[in-house]
Amino acid sequence: MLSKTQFPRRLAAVGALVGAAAVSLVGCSPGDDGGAVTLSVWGRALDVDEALVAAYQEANPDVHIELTRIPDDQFLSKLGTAMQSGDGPDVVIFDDANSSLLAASGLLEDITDRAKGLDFFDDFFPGQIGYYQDRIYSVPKQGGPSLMYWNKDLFAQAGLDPESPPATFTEVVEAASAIHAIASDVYGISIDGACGGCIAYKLSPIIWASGGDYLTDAGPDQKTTYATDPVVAEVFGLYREMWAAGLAAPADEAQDGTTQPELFLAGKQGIFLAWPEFAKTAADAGIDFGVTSIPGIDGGTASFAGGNNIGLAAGTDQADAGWEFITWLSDLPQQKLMASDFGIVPVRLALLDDAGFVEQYPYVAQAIEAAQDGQLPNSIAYAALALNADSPLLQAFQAIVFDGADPAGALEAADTRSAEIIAQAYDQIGG
Amino acid sequence: MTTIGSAPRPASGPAAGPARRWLTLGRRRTITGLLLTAPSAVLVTVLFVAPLVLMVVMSLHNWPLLGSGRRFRGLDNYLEAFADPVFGQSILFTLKYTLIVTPLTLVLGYLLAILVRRRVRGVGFFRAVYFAPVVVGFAAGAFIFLSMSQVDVGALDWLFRALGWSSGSPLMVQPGPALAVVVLMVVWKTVGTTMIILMAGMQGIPAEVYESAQVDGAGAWHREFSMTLPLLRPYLALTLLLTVTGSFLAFDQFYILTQGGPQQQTTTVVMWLFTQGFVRYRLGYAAALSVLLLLLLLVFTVFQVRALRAEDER
Repeated sequence: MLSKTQFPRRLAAVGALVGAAAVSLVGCSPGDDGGAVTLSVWGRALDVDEALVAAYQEANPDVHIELTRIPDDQFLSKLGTAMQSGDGPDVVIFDDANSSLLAASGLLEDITDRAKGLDFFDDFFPGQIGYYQDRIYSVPKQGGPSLMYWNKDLFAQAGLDPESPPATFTEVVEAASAIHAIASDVYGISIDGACGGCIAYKLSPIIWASGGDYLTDAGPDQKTTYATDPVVAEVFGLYREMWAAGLAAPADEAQDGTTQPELFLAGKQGIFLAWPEFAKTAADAGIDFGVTSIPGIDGGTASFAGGNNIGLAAGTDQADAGWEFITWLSDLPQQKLMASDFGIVPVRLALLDDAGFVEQYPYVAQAIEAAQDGQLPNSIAYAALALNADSPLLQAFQAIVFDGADPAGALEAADTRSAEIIAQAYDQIGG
Repeated sequence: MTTIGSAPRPASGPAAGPARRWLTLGRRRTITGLLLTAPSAVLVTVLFVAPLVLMVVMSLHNWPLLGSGRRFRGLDNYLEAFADPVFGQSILFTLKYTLIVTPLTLVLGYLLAILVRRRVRGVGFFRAVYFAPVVVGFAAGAFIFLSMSQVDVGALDWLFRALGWSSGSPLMVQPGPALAVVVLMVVWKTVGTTMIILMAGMQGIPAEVYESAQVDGAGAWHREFSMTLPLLRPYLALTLLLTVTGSFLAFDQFYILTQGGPQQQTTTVVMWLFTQGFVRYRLGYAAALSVLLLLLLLVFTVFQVRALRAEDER
């Protein structure tokens, strides 16, 4: 045991040690560069962003960009937490399905004047611009509209014209039936029974192209119209018809999206609704396919305007530098680079007038054309309404298509649950 | 330990200042003790107490994941929880799941422990084999069983169909088979821990106990159930506690295998809590559900500990 003399000295020594440890744990804050502009950009885990950032820094040596790539499942929580503690980025690149949520939660700057000041503003994919209550909070950065692919070989085998895809969804059902008649292990179409996001991505365009919708305008009074819009019941009914006739593989009932392209890539499926980059995957698998826009029940076309948007983080002190970066990204050379080097769909309609571009990248051009009719379900509660496993959309779809439930009852239940989710979402943001 | 007379005295002598008188031996011991436990106390406070307090604070607020809509709600979140039908349903389901998994794990673990407790040649191999699944993460294990459940190609799908337990649809869209697959996976994954704990307990029983029993003519069954089992009570209590607590907090396996479906029929409490917090971004409400789950677990734990200790003291 320490004596009365040694003890106070030991105490002081330990105290000093603990104090030093505490100070070093706090860590050093990053020093001030002075002169160079540092821009913090947060994006999704995409290689194309790294390439674009590198190119921008080369062209603008006085700007240093710190790009942080965040996996999707952590994106919103990391962004929300960081912005609350003041550690947020200056520029945000995000899944455009979240554009209303981020805008309504106050995480994005109002860039209406800046955006409209761009001379190519009208050239952006119209359905992808990040509107919220008539103000703009983000602009498109890259596109990913949903499209319809068909297997030309199977069409020919089924006695259908391989060069002429179905122009209405009714024709899609007929084609699927004809293709399934080829063999019992050849299916007409895919049905992603356990993937809310897939259903939203693929069925929304059919509903929109048929003149229907399932969401009213974004805002605290937003409602879903599953039961009140007859088009929804009609589209779900067509899928029920196809399922009951065995036009989709039995395993599709549990398809959560991860293995959805397999049958088409194996040449065992006639029609597959998918994303633009799938063209390369199908070509690599040696499938003789065609791609076109998704049709409505009796005609018309539409698309789910998937992709990424970009905006300024609320309260950023690098707004001008950030906006310059955004403008540069939206410029035609960079947009072309996304297509040429990464096979990614750009968001500038002007590229359709570039004959050389259209010839070199026919599938990308097809996607841009489809995106002209692109829309997004504009809701701050989109994830809970559609994407999640217990979403009202997915559950109504499963009940009607697989369990043969009465559509009226199932859709009404979906509307009720959706109303509760939307109310809770607005209650959360204090809106 | 007191050093008597061997420590060097300062020149100013023992009569210097009030500080010396204050620092009695007892007080020095106390301060030394406090200093030594300070690091772990700080760790526990920062990593456990502070988050717990924060969670309780959050549960009294509207606390959105995004944005700044934070505001005090008092007990409204708790009132909502009591009226939440999915919360109630998830508690019942979690209880049902716990009641299925716990006896299965205990009985199987006990039987395996009997198999591997003797030091015969090659027993080490079997101990490793039975314990190996414990080392595999819950997520990895869930994916393995998910692939085995694939319709037409999975081993489990074939087995369930052969036994008449599946209608031919994918297993995960049928509530009974879906739960069965999860139970199978969890028992496979956790029985090794139970086995090891019970085996350690069995090996700790002195051989003389059995020798004297044999002299008295006790048969194998009697030895096992009237002697080994009671002597294992503390170990059984431990595994029971671990299994029940783990089952109450079940999440990974359901998130990967069933996603709470079909139609929310396999949604556990933690899954619902996760949905509220990270899909609907309602951290305040999720915190309230967490607090209620914690209280429920505490009640069960206290009840278990009391019940098993009371029998001990008979």
